[in-house]
Amino acid sequence: MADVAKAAGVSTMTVSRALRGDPSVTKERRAHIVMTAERMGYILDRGASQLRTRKTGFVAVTVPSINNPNFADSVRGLTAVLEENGLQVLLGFTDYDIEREELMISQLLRRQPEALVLTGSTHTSAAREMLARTSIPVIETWDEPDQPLGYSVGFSNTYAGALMAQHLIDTGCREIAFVGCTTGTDYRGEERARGFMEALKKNGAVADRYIEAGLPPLGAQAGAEAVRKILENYPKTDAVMCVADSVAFGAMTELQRAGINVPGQIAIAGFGAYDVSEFCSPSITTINPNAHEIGKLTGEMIANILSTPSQAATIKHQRSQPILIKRGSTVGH
Amino acid sequence: MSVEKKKQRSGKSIKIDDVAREANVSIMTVSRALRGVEGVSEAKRTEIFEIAEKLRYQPNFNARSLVNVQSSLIGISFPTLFNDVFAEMLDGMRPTLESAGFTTIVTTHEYDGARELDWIETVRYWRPAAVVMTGIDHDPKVRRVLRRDQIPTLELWEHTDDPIDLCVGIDHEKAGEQIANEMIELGYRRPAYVGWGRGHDYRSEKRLTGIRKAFSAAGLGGVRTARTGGTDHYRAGFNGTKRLVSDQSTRPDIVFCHSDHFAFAGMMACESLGLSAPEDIGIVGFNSLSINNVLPRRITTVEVERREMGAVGARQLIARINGIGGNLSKRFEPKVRYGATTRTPTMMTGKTTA
Repeated sequence: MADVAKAAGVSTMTVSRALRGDPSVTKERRAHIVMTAERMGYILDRGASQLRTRKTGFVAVTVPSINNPNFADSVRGLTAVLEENGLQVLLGFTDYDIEREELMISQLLRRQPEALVLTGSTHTSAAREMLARTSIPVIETWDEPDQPLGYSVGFSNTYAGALMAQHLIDTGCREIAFVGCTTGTDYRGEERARGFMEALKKNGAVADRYIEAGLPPLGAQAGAEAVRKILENYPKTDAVMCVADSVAFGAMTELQRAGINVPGQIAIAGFGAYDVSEFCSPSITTINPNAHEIGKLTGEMIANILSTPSQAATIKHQRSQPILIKRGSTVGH
Repeated sequence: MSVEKKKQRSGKSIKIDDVAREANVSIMTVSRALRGVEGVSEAKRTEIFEIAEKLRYQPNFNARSLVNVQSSLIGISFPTLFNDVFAEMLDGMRPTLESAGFTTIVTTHEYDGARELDWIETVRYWRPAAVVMTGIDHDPKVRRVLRRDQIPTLELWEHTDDPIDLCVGIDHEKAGEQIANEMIELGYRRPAYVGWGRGHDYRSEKRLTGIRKAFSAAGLGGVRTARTGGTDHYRAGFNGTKRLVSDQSTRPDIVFCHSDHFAFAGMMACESLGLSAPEDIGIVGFNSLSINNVLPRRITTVEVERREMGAVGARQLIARINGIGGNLSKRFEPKVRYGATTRTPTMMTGKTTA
């Protein structure tokens, strides 16, 4: 606090008063002090602010994209459980960018959440350091981290990829492409692609067709464009797995537009069990990651840790099981 | 001697013209840069910000109508993440807010006014630079709290003449009326509507009110409705439409849907019953969602510039944060975009569609 006082050119007492919201500090001066404190990364501690005289009552969550039914479902599951426990959920969107995640984490930690939920297990080293220092529970979701920061809830994305590869092999496909994001952006999608390719290789199938369809989040249009690329470069392709169902839907409509039968000539598979994949024609084979369950398990884990801090260390990882859903786009009617 | 030192010595405060002189630009450019309005390049804006900060220039706080700027944080509240509409508006807002140095934190209230109020109670402790809320229907206490705390507030996605502070959006009832009138013009006479349960989405209800008004003004019958709960748009659209069209004796000739996702699933439901659009039935969506870009048969829909709406909302909000008073609200006008799921005006005049 003394540092903030020095930088703002006021006394320590004034900083304390300003941060407490004491009316003896003018509005302008308070704004200046708060801005200075924020710029310096000063965390309002218990004595310094009315903020800390009570629990903040919220859990911070970083999510890669607002535009993704899976994350939406997880957030809904998480919110439902936490709300029952009197906790609010506040979200920061990272746009699949770990540097933004780092910024978000530092902003959120400054507001003293009761717990922090992250999507994925790839973080910048600065973020890792910050998270190692914090005393609140940190939960990584949608992944099985190699180096967990604390707690985790999720599944192995390589396993999910392998699951779909095996299904496509079983239906007789051999020339299979994977449509994903530009490498280095969607880590979990890449893990799925890795598991997918490894399984193809193990079965002696072609395993070199990773089609980069752009930056996440990918939508239907990206799927349509990727399919045009595939038809041009690999005309013998007999199956296409897409990183998400939205992409698979676009890929399928583009094939249909080109007069190519799905699954007769080319099979299509997605990931995420999005609503659209069930109601299009043919319906799309997909993997249900049990997104809602991930959120729910995360919420329960947090409630548990906060209510019984002494036993907090017992369960560190909760596994959710992705499930293959076979539909018309790979197995016909 | 620098401007700063001179002023400090003479005891005068730094004025906007000092910043302008130091940055070698006009006062208007400084003002534009600080207010976040267009016409200043990003590079210039950054330079001006740096100079303003170096000189410790404080914009005239007294000129601000609703000012209690304390942090760089902007709280945003959406009903749900299960909707591309909010994603696109957020996409439109964030680059503008973030390049002006603000961080956005989002919450969802699942169409529950009490939860939105709870959120306001949490966020106000952070002394946010501003808050953004969806639509204009809130618990009355939300308005009181935000006005009392003088927190700049943007209500996005819906327009009203009486916002809490400022609003940027469309008039949803008029949008419903507009699309319904065009469909009446095309000869449709037996309307139906597929959407969520009552009390769930106020804006969708307002559009339905507009549709009802239009048909009733044309002396035509009432609008049948099929409502569903849940969060799955396609499931709701499929089941709702199926319910409406199954019985031939009461079958509507036009189905207005809550969104394009509802409409696509509605089209699938019709096809599963051997009905196709537009030959047997007309299907109308709302919001021109991205799915429509890949459909072999595009849905007739209502287009709203949501990204632009987000961007304009963000700029207006920054202007407010920076002390610009008065009415900063903007109204957007939706447009009907014809696809291949309804008759079209060109069809009616006998021309073929391209």
